[in-house]
Amino acid sequence: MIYAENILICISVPLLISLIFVRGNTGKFVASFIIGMAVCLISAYISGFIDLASNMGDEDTAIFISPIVEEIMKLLPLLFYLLMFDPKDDSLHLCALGIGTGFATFENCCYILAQGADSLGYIMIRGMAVGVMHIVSIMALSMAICISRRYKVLSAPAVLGALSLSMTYHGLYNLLVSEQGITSYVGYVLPILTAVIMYFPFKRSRDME
Amino acid sequence: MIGNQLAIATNLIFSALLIFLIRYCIRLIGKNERSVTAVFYTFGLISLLLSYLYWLAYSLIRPDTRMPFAPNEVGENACILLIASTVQTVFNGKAMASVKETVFAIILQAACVGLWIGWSGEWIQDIIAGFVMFYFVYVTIKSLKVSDALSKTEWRMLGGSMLLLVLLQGLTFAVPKEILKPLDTVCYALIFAICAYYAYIVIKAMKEGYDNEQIMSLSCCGYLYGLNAMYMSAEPMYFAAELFMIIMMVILTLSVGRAVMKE
Repeated sequence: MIYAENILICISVPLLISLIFVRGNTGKFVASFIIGMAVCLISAYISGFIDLASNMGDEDTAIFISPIVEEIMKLLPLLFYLLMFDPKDDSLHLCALGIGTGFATFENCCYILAQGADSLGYIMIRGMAVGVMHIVSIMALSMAICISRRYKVLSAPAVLGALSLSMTYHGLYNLLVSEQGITSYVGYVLPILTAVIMYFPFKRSRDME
Repeated sequence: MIGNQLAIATNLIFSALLIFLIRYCIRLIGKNERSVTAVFYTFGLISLLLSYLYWLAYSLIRPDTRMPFAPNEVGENACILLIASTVQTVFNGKAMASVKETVFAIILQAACVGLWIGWSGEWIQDIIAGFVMFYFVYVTIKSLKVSDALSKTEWRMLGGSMLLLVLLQGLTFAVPKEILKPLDTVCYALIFAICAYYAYIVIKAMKEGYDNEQIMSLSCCGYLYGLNAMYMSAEPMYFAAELFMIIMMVILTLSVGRAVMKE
């Protein structure tokens, strides 16, 4: 049993105070980072509730339900920012990156506190896999939103399609790492590989702006 | 056991084919960087590939167990939404000729959703998938009407046979057990007769040199019908319906490619 709310407060307070002293993009990133951590906590509450309500079991909830809840929850602040402030593409990517990084950091913090950090090798693998996976999935969403907005075809089906794509990707990762052995190695490599593949269209998309 | 091996084999073959289609679409993006049609379509194919890979990983990690919730269906829904968005961008801004066919098709699709719920008992998943299909039906019918791809006789033949199929499938819930098997056989015969008739329409369109928008709307409708045929079939007929769906997807990909080059 860990007290995730206390951990969130402990990590957020210095970041919130730092917001007083920073401006511009740095401020946006720090704010998104804090939102990402809060979103992670709320997602855990929702997944926990679904686990209790459906009697699915912790492992099955983590594999099948969490990816859906987490991707929806990550999209919501991004969508709010998009609809309320109509930001430029760069700002939207920055916000997405902050949410993804905050989410992954908080999840890793809670994992380390619950399971311990004895094995440096495993902790590094987890950081490289889960950390990158959350960033990749939300960046894919942000890129899809920017592309459809640029071509004036930003519609609910396009956003929902991109959201479902990131849910499937996240679900595949969770499924692969759920069992020890060769499938888990494939799962650990998947986020880094996707990040490398995504870098090129991202760079091209930036050049086109 | 043999059914599972067959499922894995078809899954691998279709995944390989999807990788080729995705490669083709990425090349299209390279040729026309400003084409949102190609981007949406590529994302759609990637979703379907992820869905296949998810199913494959699940079959290997947890063989012979049913998923408590099927996240790969989320990938299928993503593919449908993104393909619908692709077709919508091609036919964007073009006025719809009639709402009669759309209303009829959506009612038919609602009946199909009712059948899925009856078969699987998964209310929430089937209703969500139903909404995705409604949007796809709307876009498909709009594309068929705008491009004038089907003649009046073809509309009546397809509409009538689909209505008959849904009624017969509905009857399978009510008839006694001894009639169920022959009725099932009749349903399968009808499902694949419609597939064959539809394949004939598409081949005729390609041979007679219909324009690209017509072929795109026809293959999109074929893909939609293939999905419904898959959901109405049990293994091993499921794989035959899946093969039909994949063939329609290949034709759709080629027509998307021509549309992108025209942009």
